[in-house]
Amino acid sequence: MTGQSGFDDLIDALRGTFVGSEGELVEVKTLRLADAERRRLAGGDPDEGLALVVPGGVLLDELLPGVPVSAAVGVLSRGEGVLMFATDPVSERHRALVEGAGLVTGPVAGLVRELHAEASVLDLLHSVGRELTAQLDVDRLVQKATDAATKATGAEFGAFFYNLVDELGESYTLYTISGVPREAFSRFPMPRNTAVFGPTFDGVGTVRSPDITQDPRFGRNAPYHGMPEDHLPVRSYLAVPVISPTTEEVLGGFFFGHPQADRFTARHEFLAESLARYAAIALDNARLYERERIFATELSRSMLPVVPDVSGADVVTRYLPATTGSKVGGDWFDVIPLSSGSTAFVIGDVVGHGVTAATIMGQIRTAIRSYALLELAPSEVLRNVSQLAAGLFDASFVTCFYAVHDPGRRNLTYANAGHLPAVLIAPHGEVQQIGEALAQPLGVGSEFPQRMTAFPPGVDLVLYTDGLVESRTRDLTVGIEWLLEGITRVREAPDREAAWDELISELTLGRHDDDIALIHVHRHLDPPAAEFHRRADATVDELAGLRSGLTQWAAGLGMTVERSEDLVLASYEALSNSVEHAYRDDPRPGAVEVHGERHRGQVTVTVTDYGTWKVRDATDTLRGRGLSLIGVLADHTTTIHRDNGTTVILTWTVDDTTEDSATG
Amino acid sequence: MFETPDSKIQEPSGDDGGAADGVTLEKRDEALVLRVTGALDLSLAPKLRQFVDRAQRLAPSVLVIDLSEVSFLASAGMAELVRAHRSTPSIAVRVVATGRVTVRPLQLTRLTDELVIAPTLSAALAPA
Repeated sequence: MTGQSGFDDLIDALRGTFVGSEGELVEVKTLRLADAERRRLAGGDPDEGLALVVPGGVLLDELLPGVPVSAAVGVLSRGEGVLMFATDPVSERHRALVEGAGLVTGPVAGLVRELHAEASVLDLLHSVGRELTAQLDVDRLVQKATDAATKATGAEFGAFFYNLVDELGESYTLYTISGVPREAFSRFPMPRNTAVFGPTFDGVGTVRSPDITQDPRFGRNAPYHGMPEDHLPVRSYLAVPVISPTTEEVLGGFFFGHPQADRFTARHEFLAESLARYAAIALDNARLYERERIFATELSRSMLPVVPDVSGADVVTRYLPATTGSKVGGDWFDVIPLSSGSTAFVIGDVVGHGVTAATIMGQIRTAIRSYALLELAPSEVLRNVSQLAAGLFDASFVTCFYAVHDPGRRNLTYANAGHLPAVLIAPHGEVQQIGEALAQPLGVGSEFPQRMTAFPPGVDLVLYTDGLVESRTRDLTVGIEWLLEGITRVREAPDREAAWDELISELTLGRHDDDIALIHVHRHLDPPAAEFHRRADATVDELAGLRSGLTQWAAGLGMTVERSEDLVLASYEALSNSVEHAYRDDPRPGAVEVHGERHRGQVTVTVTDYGTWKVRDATDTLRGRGLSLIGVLADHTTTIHRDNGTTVILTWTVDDTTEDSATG
Repeated sequence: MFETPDSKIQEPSGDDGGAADGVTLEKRDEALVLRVTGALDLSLAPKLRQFVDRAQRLAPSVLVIDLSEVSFLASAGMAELVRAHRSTPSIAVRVVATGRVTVRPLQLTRLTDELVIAPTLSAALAPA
């Protein structure tokens, strides 16, 4: 217990009463008293208030056995007790002074007690107010306010009803209870705008009644005409509206009750109103804050990319805005298909939070996309974006890991601007962190060295932001260790999406204070289907389906986007010829077959029909374009006119290293 | 002065699942614009021919065939571009082509030598 000023002052004053026969001060010793001793000394409740007691000889012997005490006086206060005594001779004057002091202390004790109570309430008001206004979690805020107000008013119980508006704009009412278990109220409906409650919910003003059951407003409303049966008995009643200082709308109301009449004073009313004002500010803040959080979350979500299919790989991505706190909005990921056939994987984190971070993130993301589409090398992408960021945003910095996977060369080129390292898992399972501490963040650094590593089929790459591994209760390196262990399990899991959800909730204990962004790329071990075969009626209507099938197949061949487009167009032209010319004289169209295969670095598409190609109409110079187009699109073309039809063979040479089957 | 283009004709795109293939006709001052969407292939080429014929009957000074939204260009479609260009010498035909998907086949078949190709619709509409 900390010293109370009245208590300490009294002890100081009493020190001056221990005087010798010449009026000189005598040495005073003090003995702190334990609870039982205080009780003995007081001869009853030692916490009644400030008191002076001159102990008798028997008690003194108990408290100070064997000490030749010349004079002693005990000082008691709430929770404290000190025995002051001297062993040197003390004059009679001491006794007179102590008696005098005792006479005064009696009435003073009561006064001091009141002042103490007052001071502690003001203390409470102040500290609760400070805590409330710093509180952004609505549930905790209102509970704290209700507890504090109930205590301050000396009510038997208190309740706080408050209105919230959900995402759909619907208003709803919640409440907190203090002093009694929540169940005491859970059976009753929400209080309505009755004659008693109306002034509070309408924000008219405070209602204080010494005995609400005698109030003319009481009992006027159906169905209860008073209090519901089993309601806690209330006679003293105090209710204070909570009104927003900014919008002046009524946010809710505090209600206090006591089963005895006449318990609430003007002073209680003042305290409750003060707390209501603090609560209003706090609720306003919390609502603004919640709005900002929702806005930042929406902003970040709306900027999430549509993850394209990456040929030959499974990609799992996650963006989880912070569930608590104000840290929403700075993280992002991106998966960008490049026209060379490569894919860029980007993960980043804007330092800072909220709407500002989210908008900076959006700009940085777009900048990275733009430079990525120019097919700049990773170090160049980051260098350009860093320059841009340094000019655009004051004192912001952004971490970013940028990696480009080239399926043709089977490698991964990456640069890292101050971001956490990425995790690379070799096909045989060896886990490795790559790109650690390569360069400074964007907006700070100017050089972003890049590295290259093999990226064969069966390899895994994981990019993530710190929200996944960092927590208030755990060191970053421990978090990364847990992640590395977990990744191995995710990699083996039949359903990687579900496995990630599990791992994320394990790592964050279901409550992440920061955004989380994540990309997991798994390159298929199985080579993409090397063969394609379709047989269809040689009609215009079938062509679209055949073209679509070829497009999908070609995408998995490891050719550049341009080459696979050529393949599809050339094949389409050959198919068109069959559709248009092969069965011109037949009442019903025959079949056309298309067969594609990849073998030893060569892709071959064969189109076969079973009709007779009419000799081209000499006047139709326009239609000859199809054949000449085929000629320039394919690396090599052969047309075989058989007795029963025509076969066109188109071939393309592809980079031999792209043939996954070599190792798969 | 011109009749209002009556409808947006849309051909089922079959497999693409995205924007439907089709041709629309609209008037821009003294010019007519044919916007082609989706795959300009053997299926859509007859529709384009029909629209070109209709546009030419209206005798605009400029006919723009806008391929900005074309995702696939086959020789059947290119044949219609050439036909439009050659059939009525009094009408200037301009083709809007930007992406590789349309520009490359036009280049490979050297149609870029013959057709007037513009990178944007506004460039195509600008006075020659």
